[in-house]
Amino acid sequence: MVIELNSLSKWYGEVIGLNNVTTTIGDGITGLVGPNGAGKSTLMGLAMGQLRPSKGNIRVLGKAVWNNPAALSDIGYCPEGDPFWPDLTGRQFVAFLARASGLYGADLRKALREVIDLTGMTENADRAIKGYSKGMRQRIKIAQALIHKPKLLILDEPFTGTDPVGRHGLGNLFTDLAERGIHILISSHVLHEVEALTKQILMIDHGRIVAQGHLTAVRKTMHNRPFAIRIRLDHPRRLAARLAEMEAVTSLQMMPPNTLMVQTVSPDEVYDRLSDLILDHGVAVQEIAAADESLEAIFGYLTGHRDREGGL
Amino acid sequence: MNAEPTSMSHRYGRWDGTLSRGRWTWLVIVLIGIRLTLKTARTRMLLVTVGLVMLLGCIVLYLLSLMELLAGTQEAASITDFIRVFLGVDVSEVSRIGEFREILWRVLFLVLIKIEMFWVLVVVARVGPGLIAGDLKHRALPIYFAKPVTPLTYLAGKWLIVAAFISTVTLIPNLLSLSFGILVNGGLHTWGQELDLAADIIVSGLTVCLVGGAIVLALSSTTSDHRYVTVGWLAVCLLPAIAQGIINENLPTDSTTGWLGCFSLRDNVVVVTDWLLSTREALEATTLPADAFSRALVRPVHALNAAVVLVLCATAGLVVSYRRIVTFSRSAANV
Repeated sequence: MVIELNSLSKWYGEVIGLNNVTTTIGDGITGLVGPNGAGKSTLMGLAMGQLRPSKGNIRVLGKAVWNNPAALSDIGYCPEGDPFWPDLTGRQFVAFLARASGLYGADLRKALREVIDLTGMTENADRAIKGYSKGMRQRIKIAQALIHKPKLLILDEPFTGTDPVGRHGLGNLFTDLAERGIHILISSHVLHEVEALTKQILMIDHGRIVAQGHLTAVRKTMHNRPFAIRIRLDHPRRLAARLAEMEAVTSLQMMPPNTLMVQTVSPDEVYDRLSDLILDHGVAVQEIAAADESLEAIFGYLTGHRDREGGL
Repeated sequence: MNAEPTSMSHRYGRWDGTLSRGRWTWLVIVLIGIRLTLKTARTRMLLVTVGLVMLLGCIVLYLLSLMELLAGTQEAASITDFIRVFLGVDVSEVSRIGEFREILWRVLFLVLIKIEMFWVLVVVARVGPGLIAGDLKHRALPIYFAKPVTPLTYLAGKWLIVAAFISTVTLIPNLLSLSFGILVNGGLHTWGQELDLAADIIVSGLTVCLVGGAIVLALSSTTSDHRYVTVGWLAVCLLPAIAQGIINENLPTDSTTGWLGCFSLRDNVVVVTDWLLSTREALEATTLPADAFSRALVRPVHALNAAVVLVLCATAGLVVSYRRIVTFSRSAANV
């Protein structure tokens, strides 16, 4: 296991940051999602050894991290915000933090070239950070997190301020790193960004874990909530009449233009029946999709939070 | 020029070397701090002006050495006779200047250190306030402590940055002036004689570094706005000095030799330096008129009291800054 939390709690006076959490975070990319103030940054701070657990313990890559700076050699951290010295160039910034990690000489120069190239900053590495765009700042922060070749990368809101192209590039980079064996814990309050990267999620709210695991598996555990299936086709009324005969279908809703929204307690049964109905009636179907299996929908069900401008 | 790069290489491979576990982390912090500070043209200009003090020291030492070399020659005797006859001033003691080298040099360095205290005030006001405040402002502490950097290493690094700049305006010019004086005065033979003086200058310089660094770091750790720190530093240095001036004006000298004479940090440093250099004792051991040096010497204050105040200030400063760094780095505001 990459991260193990055992009855972990963190209180800030009377405010609860994390409340008696016991779980493990495994290999690959894990999305840490939750609204602002949910406890994401507290969990990351605990994983970085920067916060002392009020109760319980946390082990990262098998090591206790609190008061153990040596354990940080295996962890790369990309914080939120702009923790820069604006007069430094990107290369100087990364080199400084590499030296602080204990990397010197030829090893440093080689690693520096590599991460700057890797993050697409080669052309801008020798410019002062104060002239960087938001996206460049994110990249150079990621470069410093990678410079000492960590086994675990902790990324706090890494997509903040990046444009869609840059976001896509960063997403590819994270996927590539994960394929090379780097474990990634990525936090975001913008759920579709995380969803595009991984289906493994750790969802927290008010300092508690509300769901964990693969998105589909998490959705399936929510028995009390009907699944929604969106079908876009030429003649929705004809199909709706047939679907209404099924016991598993709890409601049907016609949505212009030519969209049928089906609520069901047994999605597998509906999917099976759908293929037969489509073939029997020769309906031209443009799209069949789970309307509420997205991370945002699941999070909304679990916490009652509403989507606001792409975030929570 | 701000075009967003769109392509990314994917040549990342695991590195199998070993990291050196932060043995030199403090030095890394010092070097980057000095580098960042020297990026400002005003700071560089300020440091250049320190050369003036060094130049003054070198000129005086050169003149003293020259007089020492000339003393006892026929030309020197003629000059002293000339002065005695036409100006009515007996300067025959000058022919014995070699005997007074020890005290003259010590008084000179005491005067230089007094002058340098002004530069310390200005240079620390320039370089010190942003050291921790800047990191707080840019929320850089999480990125430091995400590396194998402990709060103590961080504080040591920051203190050494201030110490380096204070040394540039006190310790280094004084040692260079002394070296110059030794060179023009006779080389290694004089060096052996002035070893004590060099040691005293080093201890005095380190005292200034310790106290100045600790106080400015404590102030810098209390806010993320370096302007408040600058105001705080100037207040800490100037207000007690003003108060001390008022006390000295209104109380008899005898009553200000104890704690009442220890308000001003600058004066305390000078008193301790005076004690280290033993100027008063050295002067009393000669036949030189003490009145002639009254302006160069310091007000009589118990050196132990002054030293205690300085140690307390330095300790309080270091404790405050350490606690602030630890508290902030482990608080919710930091994550």
